[in-house]
Amino acid sequence: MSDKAQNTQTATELPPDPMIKGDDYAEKYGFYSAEAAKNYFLKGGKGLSHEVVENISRIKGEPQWMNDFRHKSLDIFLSKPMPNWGDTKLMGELDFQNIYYYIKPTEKSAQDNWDDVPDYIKNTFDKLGIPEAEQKFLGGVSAQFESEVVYHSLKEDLAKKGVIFLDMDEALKQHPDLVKKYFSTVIPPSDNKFAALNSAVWSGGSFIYVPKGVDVGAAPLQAYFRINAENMGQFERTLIIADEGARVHYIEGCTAPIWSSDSLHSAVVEVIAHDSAYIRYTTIQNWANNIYNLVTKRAVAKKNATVEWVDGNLGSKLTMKFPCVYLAEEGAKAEILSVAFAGTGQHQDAGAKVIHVAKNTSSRITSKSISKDKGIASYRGMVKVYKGAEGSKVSVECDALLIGSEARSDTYPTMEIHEDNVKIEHEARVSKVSEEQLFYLTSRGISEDDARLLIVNGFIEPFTKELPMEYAVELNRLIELEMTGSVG
Amino acid sequence: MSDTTIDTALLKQVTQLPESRNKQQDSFAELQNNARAKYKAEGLPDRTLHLWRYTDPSQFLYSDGSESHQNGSAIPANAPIASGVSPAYDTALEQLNAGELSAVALDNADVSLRIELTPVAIKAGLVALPLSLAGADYSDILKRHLATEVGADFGKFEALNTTLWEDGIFIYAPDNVRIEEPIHLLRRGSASSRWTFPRTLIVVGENSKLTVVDEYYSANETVAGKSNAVVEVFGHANSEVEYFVLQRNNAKTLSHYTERTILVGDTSKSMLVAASFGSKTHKANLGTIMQGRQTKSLQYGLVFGSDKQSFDHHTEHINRGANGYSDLDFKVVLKDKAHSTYTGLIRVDENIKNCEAYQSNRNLLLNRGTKAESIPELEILCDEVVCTHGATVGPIDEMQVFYLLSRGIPRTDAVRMIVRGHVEPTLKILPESLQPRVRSYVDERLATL
Repeated sequence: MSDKAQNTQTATELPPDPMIKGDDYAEKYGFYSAEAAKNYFLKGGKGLSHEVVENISRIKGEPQWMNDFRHKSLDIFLSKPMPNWGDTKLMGELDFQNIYYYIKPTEKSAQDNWDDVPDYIKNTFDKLGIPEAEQKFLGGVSAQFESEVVYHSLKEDLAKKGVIFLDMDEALKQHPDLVKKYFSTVIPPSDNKFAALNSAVWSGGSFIYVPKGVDVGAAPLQAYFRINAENMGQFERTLIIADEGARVHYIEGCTAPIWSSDSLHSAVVEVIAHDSAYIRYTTIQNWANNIYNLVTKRAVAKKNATVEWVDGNLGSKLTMKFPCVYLAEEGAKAEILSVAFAGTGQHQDAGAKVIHVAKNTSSRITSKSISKDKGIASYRGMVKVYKGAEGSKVSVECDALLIGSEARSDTYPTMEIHEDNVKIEHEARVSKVSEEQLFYLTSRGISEDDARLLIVNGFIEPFTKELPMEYAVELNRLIELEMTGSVG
Repeated sequence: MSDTTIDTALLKQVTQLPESRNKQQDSFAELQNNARAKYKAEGLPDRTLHLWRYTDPSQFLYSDGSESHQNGSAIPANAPIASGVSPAYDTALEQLNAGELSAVALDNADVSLRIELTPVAIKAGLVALPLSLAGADYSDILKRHLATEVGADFGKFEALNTTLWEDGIFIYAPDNVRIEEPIHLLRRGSASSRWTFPRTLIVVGENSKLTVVDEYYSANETVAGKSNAVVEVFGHANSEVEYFVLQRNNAKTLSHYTERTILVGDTSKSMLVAASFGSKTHKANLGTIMQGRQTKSLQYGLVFGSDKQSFDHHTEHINRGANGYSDLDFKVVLKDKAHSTYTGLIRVDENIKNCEAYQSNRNLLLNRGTKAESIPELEILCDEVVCTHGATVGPIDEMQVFYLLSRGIPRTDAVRMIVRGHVEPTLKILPESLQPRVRSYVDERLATL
């Protein structure tokens, strides 16, 4: 391939440490001439190799340890087989060599065009009442989101308290030691094939550090605050650290569908809650239905710390996401609340993992899934209690609702209990919308469609009530859209 | 203790295989050769999947190496006759009362297989024969059932049994034959540590009813026995079948056991109860395939592990016919350093409407050092269903202990009472001819707390 040859040349010609110049993207990413960038990214960007990884690292001007880490991770990725569980058929369709692993943000807007965004996505934006600027951003067309100014004062406020809230690339530059101390300590690249892939080619994501005793739990930090083109990146890397006694609530994603021409999204999210800290991570994923969303999320909760995952999965073709909490020290708590909605052509393979290694730790998992028409929703969970984790309490509840005779719901909970002085409870229930409930509502003069919607909204209420109001409203509207024309 | 303790005066139509053991008839040759090829071709099961995650499959590989087993039944010439005492087996034999059974099969791996039926059962039309002799009169029945579900394609170790089974047992209730008293199968393993391959086929015709009690014992308390057993049960339209399997091998035995009940006909019913007490490692795979419409299947499990025993049970309820009803209750009690794995699957296939399926798994851990894994799975491909499952793991409820203590009952006795209460609902289901033994195995483990 002549492209490849040319490419290699471009790569070798790169100056060793060219980029960490300015603060804004134009300087930072506009370093190359548009021509050179085009050559590199458009022709050489597809596919995965050490060369690609090297280029990503160099363009970002990363320290050597990160460069080494990426290469090591790539080796791990290449050596690991694809998972032999889950939706192996869909996973088998993934072609790793046919994916752009890094596209410069400044190039991104040139790649996508508002006209290319499918009509169904645009219609959904309209129905959800999302402003045009935001629509374009969500559509992956606009690289910059105008609201940055709005959040500026908020950012200053956080800074005064010593809170660090940056995108991951920026954090690596501004706080290299802090990043190095925690990076990949919760999810090593060898954890699984997709974590290895992310480790090799990660880009963007959030970095949050909340110092001792600082409480920013009242107003959630949102991914929007630090908006740039990369926060919707394919291979996000997020790291959240709450120091002793700190409290933080982070919200990622939104209820509007996110259009992207990229076929694979594989994020890694690491959360570390020090003694008595509290972290809640809320995410609602609504990728377009052509996306593979294979995410590794894990938290460590130290003494008396609490970690909560609130996880909604509405979009994507295949989602595999099992938020995990490692209850490492005495008194740690975990709460995982997840909702999945799978329509035709979708497989939501979601769940939760809780690992109890210390005394008197407790966890609660609540999972709600809805499979509609030909959708597949799976709950895949793991509860592990190690010997010595005396007095641990676990409660798992999985409810599944089936709408349509071709819908499918699977439940695969695993419980490994190696300690006797514990209390473990698991319950699951699968059924369709109850005729009795429908009858009751229709007898009150409510149309059958509305009644069904009411029941579905009631079914996921334990989830929606945990969301900030505007998200809850949007989510309800979205469910309403998904339910339109449902025949049950 | 000999095999003749039972009062044979009441039993007729004795079938006994000569000690030299017949070679399998040629009719099985193709089936067995095919299974042999499959066993050799197939790799070890994938350990990353749930079914084998907690038990090493390599220990079940056929290790005797003797190709003289080629046609199935030949016993190595130097195999010793069972020696030593197997109190459990002898007790079982003693407790059998001809008044309460319709047939008995004494399958002594080193000696012979002897099957006896009561005159009542013979008159009613019950058929019980060594599988190797059944071909003459029932070749059509065998062809339609034997190894059709658990055969060469089922799995590596099931293929192994299919190729090497020794004199299996064939129990057949033709259409409209209803037998109320249970049929007892009493198996005693080999006194040498060679592999044994018990095989059983139970066919229940239309409108018929059968109850089978299947018990597995070691030859004595010391031999490190190895067994790989397969049982297939078929229920035709409107039939009822109850199958109880009790495993009380010695604590050195390695046992692999696969059972499938296939409810072929509409409105057929089955009940399956598995009680496992023995073996060092016991790997059991039990399931009911509900093929007909409006079938009903109940499964119960009881495991009581002690010392360093390891149990790995898998159950399945597969709904392939509409309007099925299934329930499962799997209870586990563990003490010392015992380890139990339970994986259970409920599957409802596409467009199989109006199924109800329930499943519960309760694990009681009596002390530290015990380990319990529980994986109850649901695969539901149809919306017109009601399915639930529940699982719990934990120690004895201290509130219950406290209540009993406050009544002046010593702690150990209180624990015993609570454990007995935990297992009692399962014990009550057992036929009366089996209850005393199972109760004694529970008490045996509760004696040393």
